[in-house]
Amino acid sequence: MAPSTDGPWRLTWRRLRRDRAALAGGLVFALIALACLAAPLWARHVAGTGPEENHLTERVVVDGVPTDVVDLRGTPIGPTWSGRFFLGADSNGRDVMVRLLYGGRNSLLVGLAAALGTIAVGLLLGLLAGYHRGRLDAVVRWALDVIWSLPVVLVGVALGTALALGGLELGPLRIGADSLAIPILVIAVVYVPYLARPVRARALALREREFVEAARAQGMGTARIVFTEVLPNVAPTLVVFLPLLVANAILLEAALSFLGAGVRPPAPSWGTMIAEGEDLIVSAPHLTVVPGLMLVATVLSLNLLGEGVRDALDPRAKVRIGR
Amino acid sequence: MGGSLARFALRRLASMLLVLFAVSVLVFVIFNVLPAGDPAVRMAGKVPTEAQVEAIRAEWGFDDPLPVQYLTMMRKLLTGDVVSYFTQQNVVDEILKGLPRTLSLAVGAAVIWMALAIALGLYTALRAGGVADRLLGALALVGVSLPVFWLGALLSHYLGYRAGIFPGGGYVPLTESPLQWAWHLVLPWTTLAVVFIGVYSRLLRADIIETLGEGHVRTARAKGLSERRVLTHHVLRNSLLPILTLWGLDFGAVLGGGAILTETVFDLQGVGQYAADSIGQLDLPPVMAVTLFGAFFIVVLNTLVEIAHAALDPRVRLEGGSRR
Repeated sequence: MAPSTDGPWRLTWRRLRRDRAALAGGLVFALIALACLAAPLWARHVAGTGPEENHLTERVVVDGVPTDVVDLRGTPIGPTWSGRFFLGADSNGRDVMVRLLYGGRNSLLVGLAAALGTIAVGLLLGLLAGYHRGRLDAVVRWALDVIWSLPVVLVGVALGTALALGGLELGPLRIGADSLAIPILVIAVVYVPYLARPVRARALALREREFVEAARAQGMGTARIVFTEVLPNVAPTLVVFLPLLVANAILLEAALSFLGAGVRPPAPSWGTMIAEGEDLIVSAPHLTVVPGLMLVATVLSLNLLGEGVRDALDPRAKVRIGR
Repeated sequence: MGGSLARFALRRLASMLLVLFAVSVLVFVIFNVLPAGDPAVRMAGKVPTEAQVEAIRAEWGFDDPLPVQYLTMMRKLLTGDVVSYFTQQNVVDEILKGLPRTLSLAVGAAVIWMALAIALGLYTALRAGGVADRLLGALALVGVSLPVFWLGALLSHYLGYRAGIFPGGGYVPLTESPLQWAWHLVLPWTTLAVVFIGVYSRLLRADIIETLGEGHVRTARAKGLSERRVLTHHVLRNSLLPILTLWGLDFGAVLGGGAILTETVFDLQGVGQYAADSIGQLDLPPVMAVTLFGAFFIVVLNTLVEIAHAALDPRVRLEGGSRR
């Protein structure tokens, strides 16, 4: 039987509860996620428009004066701070606030799904290599080292561009080129080495411990030992990595989308919004500033939370994600 | 002694060749095997004609078995025979044109981030727990949370275009005017360095605090060495080595394509921006070539850093074939 894991987790929670910066980070992230989830509510009841609806030729009343949503020189209006076009419009006359919330859904979805994908694959590879050792370990570790030494943007760009034209077809698995699953997959793959390497090191150390040896002596099968003895002891590493992985995945999604190798327009994401906004930064800086601030607030809150979790769970853990 | 270093270097160089091969196979798989659809159509870009596609299919041998296709790709890339079907320009020529620009950006940024990270790391470690330490720690966390391209766009707009203090973008060759060269690169250097300053200063801070608690530092203090000498000879010497190794890896990564975002935002026309512009056109040959050459460069530089590390620290030479 595995020893009860109740103790250390409760201790961690007690420590985390005292860490005000981490709690603030968690709270801010939760609020941002909730706001993005509520995007349809804002779109329907406040803005009265969808994320991909153009209002190029319309006018809106600001301070009693009817104003073009996009004027004759192509400059969109800035924030009205009320109802429609709360944060202004973009060059297609789309409501920035609505796009910001819907874009947040895409950015957060890609970030969370990619981080979970990284954890699934990284855990599998790390446990397999670390517990099995031998030739399998040598091959896996070597392959991880190769990807690990390359910058994440470079590999992400290569994969994202290669898959942007025809999509992916792996046996029964078919993913269209415009699907959100492409950036999710790309980002998940790119970060695998950063998780698999520490997991492998942990598994390697654990397999020599007495309780694992005892399980082997009892005649437990390998799969059962890995799941009931090793996995619970690798779990802290996963928990430390999760918020930081999500933060980095969201940043990478933005970077890839900015370059055109991530979320494909017209679907909004914070990265594509900054990319579209940067062309108009002189006449309409709000198009760049607003999605960027959301991005920074999200990533910073996750980093704060992640640091707190690390300090509470495993203060000596050296976590470096991305190059 | 020299013998063990030579043996280590040989072993590393041999394994480098293997990694180079692996990286090239990775690039081949990413671009030619993994994606769905006809590779010739993909290579031809956005609006290909039937004749173009057939010509590309014959040129790259897309009907051949995969190993032959791989060899064709490598032959074309290594002999510099790859052409963008979108611009009709030779890809390797374009990369060589961008190289000095990318190098200028990377070297300057690397010097800045290393100098500032060491200064900040040392300062915060010596004042650990104080107000300045906590403030700078928070600032470092903000630094690693900033999207590079967003920071760059804002700096270029507000400090460049609006305030007119710095040029908003562009590049002036060093040979033309060293002053203008540096002046144009101040903002790009800063943008690229910010994230690394955040990461490195905190790593160094933790390492220095750990080293300060070690026995040899206590001994050095006990025998009456000045605090300054203890810091430079006993603490920094120990704590800088891991940072230097990391610096080698990251510098290679920045040179090998990691600066793609900074280059694009500041319109430096370096190797990274060449790749970025090609992504917009879905023009595959340049992206493929930049990926391969960037990765090759990183692998070679990493090997050199490892050998240098072994020369500085004899213990490294004994650690068999393992990488750190």
